[in-house]
Amino acid sequence: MKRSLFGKRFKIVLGAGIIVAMCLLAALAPYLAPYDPLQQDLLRRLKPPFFMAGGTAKNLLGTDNYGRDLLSRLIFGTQTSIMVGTASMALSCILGAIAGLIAGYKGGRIEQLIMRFADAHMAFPDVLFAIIMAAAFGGSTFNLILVLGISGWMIYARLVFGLVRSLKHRSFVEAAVSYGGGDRYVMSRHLLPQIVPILTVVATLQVAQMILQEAALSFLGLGLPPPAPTWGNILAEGRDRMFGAPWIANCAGIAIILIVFGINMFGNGLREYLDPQAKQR
Amino acid sequence: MLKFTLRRLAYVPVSLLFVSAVLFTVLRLTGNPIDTYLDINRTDEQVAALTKRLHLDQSLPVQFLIYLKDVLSGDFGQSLQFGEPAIHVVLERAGASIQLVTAALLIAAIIGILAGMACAVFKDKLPDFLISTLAVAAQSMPSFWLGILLIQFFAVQLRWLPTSGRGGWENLVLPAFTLAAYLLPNIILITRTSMLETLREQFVVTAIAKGLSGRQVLFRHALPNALNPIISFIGLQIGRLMGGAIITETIFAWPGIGRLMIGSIFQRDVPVVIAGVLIVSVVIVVANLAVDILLSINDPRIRLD
Repeated sequence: MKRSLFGKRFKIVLGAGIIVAMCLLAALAPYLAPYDPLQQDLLRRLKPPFFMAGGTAKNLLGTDNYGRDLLSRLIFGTQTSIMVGTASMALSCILGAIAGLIAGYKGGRIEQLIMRFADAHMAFPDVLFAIIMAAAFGGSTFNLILVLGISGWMIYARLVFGLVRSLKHRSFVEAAVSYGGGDRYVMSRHLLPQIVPILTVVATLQVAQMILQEAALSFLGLGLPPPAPTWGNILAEGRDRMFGAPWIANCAGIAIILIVFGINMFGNGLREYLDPQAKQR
Repeated sequence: MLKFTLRRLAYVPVSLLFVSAVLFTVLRLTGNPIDTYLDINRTDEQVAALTKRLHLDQSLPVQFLIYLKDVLSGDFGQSLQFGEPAIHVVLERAGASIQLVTAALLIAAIIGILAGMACAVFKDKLPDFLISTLAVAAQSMPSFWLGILLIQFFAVQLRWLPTSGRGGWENLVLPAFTLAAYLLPNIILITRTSMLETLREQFVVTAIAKGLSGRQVLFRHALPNALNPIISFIGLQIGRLMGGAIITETIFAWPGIGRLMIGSIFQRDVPVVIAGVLIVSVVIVVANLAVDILLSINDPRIRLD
């Protein structure tokens, strides 16, 4: 049983470990970062990390084009990634869950309206949507959350819609309706709790997607404007210095892959834990 | 078949109307369009002329109808940076984008399906373990960093391939693989699951019992039946692929629609952005239609729904 090593506990523990470490980094960034992430030192620009020739312990991961300390910028970058990732996930989860609940429970015209709207939105890629919004309103943390949050609601709407439609005719729901439960009561007290476990898994995995999206938008120059220390910005700066200073892009890339990997591990572990059948396949 | 296609075709205008409505709303929310066309030193006459030309003196619903009419006739206005119709600017670069996306799609489909089949055939053995673990890990890989890594390794270190730009086939290799990485891990995992399910079916057992060779059973009997989840997945991901193309074009300085749109945003060239978004949306809608038709050819039962 080679696979037992990669069992459900292992994934959850490994994933949670990475996530907790990243959250601590974000929360304690001002205390952990050796330098101010915006402080420039043009005499010390483009210094390599300590493990490369010419690197010193003064800047553990080296410096960028303006002599800013890369490690400090990466540590502060966790703040933007985690905040934008979770906030936009929460926004799209709330929007989508409400839309899906109503569509699935009410049926009829309302269902048609909400679900066809979701279908149409599905055909419209998030990056395009983000491009229009960024072009129209410019980049700020709030706009990023709004753009990413709105562009992700359909996933939840479809998921919740499917679940609610199958739950609607179960006897506990019909019982609740028959003893006089109103729509809002039935939806919030009887239907929603049934959906929460699956919703948690999808929401967890989506945080990783949102973090990737945020980094991609920053990379394109549509996220927080420079010199804000976000991982996408650092990567974009690193692209321009790819030949002389490849460590800039690579350090940011490793940071992104680490947190996304941690969240994916945790989410997949959680799914296997909640739904043992998923692992069989 | 014709009836199914026609019914499916009816969704196309609805989707495009939705996109146009969103675009129009965002456009009007961004404030006065005159500011994007004229600079600070404008005269009142210029403003008045532009207001009339852009129909800003009409009511919003009328503006929307005029805008729809313009869009339908392919009139997105003049590009501010190039001084020619925005639609021409966009269509000129469509070829490069289509080349990139097609190459990526082919790479992802061929490698993904073959690797996924290898996983299913060698389930729980070393190849399966290696490929699936790699695929799961690759899902965490941001493609924009992958592109940079590929440039560092193949173009800067080994000097096998050019770093960027468009020219011969050697320019296409790195961007196409970068873009293919958007779909590849998922195609592998979906093919694996779907193949495993198909291989358990009775008709596969029959085919093996008839004495057919392993290759015949796999490619003639199992694969066509395992193909539908893969095709549907690709259909759902075409939007993401287009988004990925924008990023890939930026990394590799590939002269396609995506790079044009990003550049136009910074130049505040709104007509080009609008034309680009609409063209890409049309491609996505048409591609989804093609996927649905492909699905129904591969599995005629779908048409009955």
